Amino acid sequence: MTDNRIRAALIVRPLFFLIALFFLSESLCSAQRQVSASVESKVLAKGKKTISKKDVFCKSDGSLVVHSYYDDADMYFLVSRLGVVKLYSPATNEVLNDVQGIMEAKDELLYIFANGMGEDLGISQYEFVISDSKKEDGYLKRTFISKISSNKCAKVEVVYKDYLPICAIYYDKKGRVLTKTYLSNYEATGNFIFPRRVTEITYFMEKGDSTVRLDLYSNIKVNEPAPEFDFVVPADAKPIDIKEIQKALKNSKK
Amino acid sequence: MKKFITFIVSLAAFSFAANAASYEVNDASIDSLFEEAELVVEAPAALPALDATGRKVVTIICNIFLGWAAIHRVVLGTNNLNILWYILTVGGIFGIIPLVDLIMYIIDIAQGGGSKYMGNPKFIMWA
Repeated sequence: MTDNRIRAALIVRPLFFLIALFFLSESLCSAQRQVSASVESKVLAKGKKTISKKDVFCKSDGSLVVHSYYDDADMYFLVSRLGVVKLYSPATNEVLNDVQGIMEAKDELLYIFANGMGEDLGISQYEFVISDSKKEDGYLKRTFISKISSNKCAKVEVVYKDYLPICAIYYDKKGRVLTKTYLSNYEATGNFIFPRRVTEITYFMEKGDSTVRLDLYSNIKVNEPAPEFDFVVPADAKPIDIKEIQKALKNSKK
Repeated sequence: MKKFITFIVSLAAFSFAANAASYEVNDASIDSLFEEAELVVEAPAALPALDATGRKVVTIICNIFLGWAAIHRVVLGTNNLNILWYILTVGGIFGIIPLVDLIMYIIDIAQGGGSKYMGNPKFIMWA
């Protein structure tokens, strides 16, 4: 072999391979999904129930648009990638601006599963670390402990069946069950599997009472365009002052 | 009252069936619970006594979607420590408390105009 051929075999070709592998990986990583779904939420407490509906739009840049719609209370919630929230009411053309650091797309269950974080239900994002893993009666159970000592939820147990999380149990520092979340009706959508039905039972030790919340997901779409993904608050929207709201509510009491 | 007692008995029976050792829930039982419950409001279309500017709607919607940030408590009026607790507990124990806040607030609006929880300094405002 000539020197040039040796150089090509040992250096150039592997180098091209690595460069191609790098860009291929980059294209795969950047091909993030934008996912949308309709959600019907029912909450049951003291023998009474409420029903609310919303459409959730998880954008590929990590931001979130939630469109709640019913009669005159059409509302938009825009959550930026950095967690800056805007709340907009089309009916009154009012906007609540720049509420920071309180909510991100990763709080939304749909976003969690669509971006490969469904295995631990996104718990690790909240400073929980796995402390135990064992099989029990055909289930796999993993225990997560909070690293934040002030967190009222000290421990979470996530139970898996056929490698899918079907139940999460949240405990306080005294080992009492705070809430139990059941996930069921898993269906494949695009490249991920998502539970269409989420049941949450919350226990209130002081009151000896409990509430039930049921979230039903439907119309899940992956990478399908929708106008809500590009929604922006109109430039002429009137900003809402929270202090004015408090004052108005106090005045309405009189 | 009868419906309330029926709900409590049903929930107790359900809770017994879905105890800590049970990791799956009977969906039919859950659906039955909701069927038997009284619909307070299909939020917020049927809410009575909304003021002209829809401020109460803003409060309720804030709770539905931003309850974990205690924004609804900010609107109703509470101390800053409660807001901090909401955030530290990832939205009031993973968003659980705001859900109950919502129910209690809606019921209060239906029954008394929605002023019962204004200025409440407690972390759990209905306790």
